[in-house]
Amino acid sequence: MNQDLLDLALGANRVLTYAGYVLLAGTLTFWSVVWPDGRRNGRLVVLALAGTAAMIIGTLAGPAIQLIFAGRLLGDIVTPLGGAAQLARLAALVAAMFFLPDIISGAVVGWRRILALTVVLVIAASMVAQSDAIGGPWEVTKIAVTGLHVLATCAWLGGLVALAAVLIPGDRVEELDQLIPRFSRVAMLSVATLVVTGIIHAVAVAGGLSPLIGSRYGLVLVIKVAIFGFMLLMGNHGRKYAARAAFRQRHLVPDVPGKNVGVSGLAVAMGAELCIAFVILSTTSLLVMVAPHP
Amino acid sequence: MTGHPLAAWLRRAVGLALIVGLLISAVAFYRVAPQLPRATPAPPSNTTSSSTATSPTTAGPASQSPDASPSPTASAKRVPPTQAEVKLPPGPGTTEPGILLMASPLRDGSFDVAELVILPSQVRSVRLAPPKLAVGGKSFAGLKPVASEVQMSADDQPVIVPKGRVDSRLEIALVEPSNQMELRYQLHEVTARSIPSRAGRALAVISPLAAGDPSLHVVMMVSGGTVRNIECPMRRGISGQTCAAGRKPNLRAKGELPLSQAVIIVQFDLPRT
Repeated sequence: MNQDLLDLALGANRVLTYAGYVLLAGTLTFWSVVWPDGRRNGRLVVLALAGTAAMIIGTLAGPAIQLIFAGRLLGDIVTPLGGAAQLARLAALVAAMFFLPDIISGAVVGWRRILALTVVLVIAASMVAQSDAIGGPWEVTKIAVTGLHVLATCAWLGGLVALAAVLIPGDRVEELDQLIPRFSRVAMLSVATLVVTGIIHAVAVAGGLSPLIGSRYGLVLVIKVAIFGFMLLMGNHGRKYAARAAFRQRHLVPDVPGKNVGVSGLAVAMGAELCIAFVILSTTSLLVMVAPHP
Repeated sequence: MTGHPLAAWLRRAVGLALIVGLLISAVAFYRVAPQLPRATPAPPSNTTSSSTATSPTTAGPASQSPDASPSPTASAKRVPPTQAEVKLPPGPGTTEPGILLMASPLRDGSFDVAELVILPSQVRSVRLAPPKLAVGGKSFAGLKPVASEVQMSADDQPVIVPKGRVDSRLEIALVEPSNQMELRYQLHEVTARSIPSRAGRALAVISPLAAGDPSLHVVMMVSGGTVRNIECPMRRGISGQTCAAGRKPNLRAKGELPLSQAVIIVQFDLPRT
């Protein structure tokens, strides 16, 4: 396999891993923080299982692609810390897979919440251990901000996917009033964390503000930030739309009986938001590939 | 969701066994990973013995003493000094961002080169490129510089350079982000006979293999009893002609050169046999 194809395969695998992380960790966080009673929702269970499967495939496929198609040896492609982190992540994924029925056997509070959040923390830590936060100057700062960035990503994007999965069918308007305010608080905190940690991380990785501005890494980062800003606008629009829809559903008689126009509009807004989220994940994968050149 | 109690207990037991097994594997992997098979040898910091192997996949970093001039009867190649043998000067490539290049002529007119690279920030890939000879003049026309037996490590982890050869611009992806690298290689097709001149006198164009940020500072050292002079063709005026500093057999280009101008012409004598 030539280098371009190899880079493409590894990039696609990275997107799969990030998507899996968002689905699994996001759903577990959503259950733990936003909607403990949402354990009965079959769509959320499917999201968690799909995320687990994607992460297992992504975790195993990364080294496998390089071993099989690039002909590299294990010692060349996995560092001691990186390999140990991947195995620890697999342990967390096995825990998610085998103990999910226990986590959702009751409201996700108490020990169930602790178990769910422990799985999220272990997976997030394993991703930090494999990131560019390890080594170089400002290591402690980079580890801290990368950890917070990764956790905020799952809380926001994962929560958004989970919220969409719950609300888009359009028959759960009664839950809008309950979920959207809770999720909005989590989302606001997550977005603030993403902005602050993102800035610090970018400057630390690039080695200062000047190198960041003049590099390809900086350019892709600007594109990501622009998409991120657009997504925030879309999210804000979606949430306002949802609030109005909930109000109409509760207090006004619909113009066309049986047709849930408000929630359909919400579905469009959230669908667009999720598409942008996927673009952001892809851009993040690209950022990893175009980190500063010497 | 939980099903039969026995099935639930079995599920938990299998899950726990797998988790414990994976966690033990993680600890074991962390301990044994340094001994895993690699395509390139262990990093130079812990290898000081000379190797007789010449394959890029098996050869260790050369580490013979560089102080003596080449003996006509010696069969071994001369090699540049290594970190273990000489006290490296503080500055670019050793204590601050930049490149320290150490070269030493071999018997066939090629050069054995070591490059220590420290970058201002971590990177995930590195660009390598052979020297551009145009700056050396017409004498070098027709030569196609190539670096062979290229060994590379990043943060003490080996990095594979395809075929151990760089004859054109090449992007090398690193497994882990790094800002500290070391390169060892032999530089061929960079030497031309100096005509008219004393018999055996030759000129060689040398520049760092690591390409990239043109403002990166470079220190260039050339060692060997046959080395006569160093010119810096990118420096204008007399400072370009009288670029050599230090005492034979260890010469260096005066001061630090920005990477965009880090080219030297080494004047040296080829051995008679």
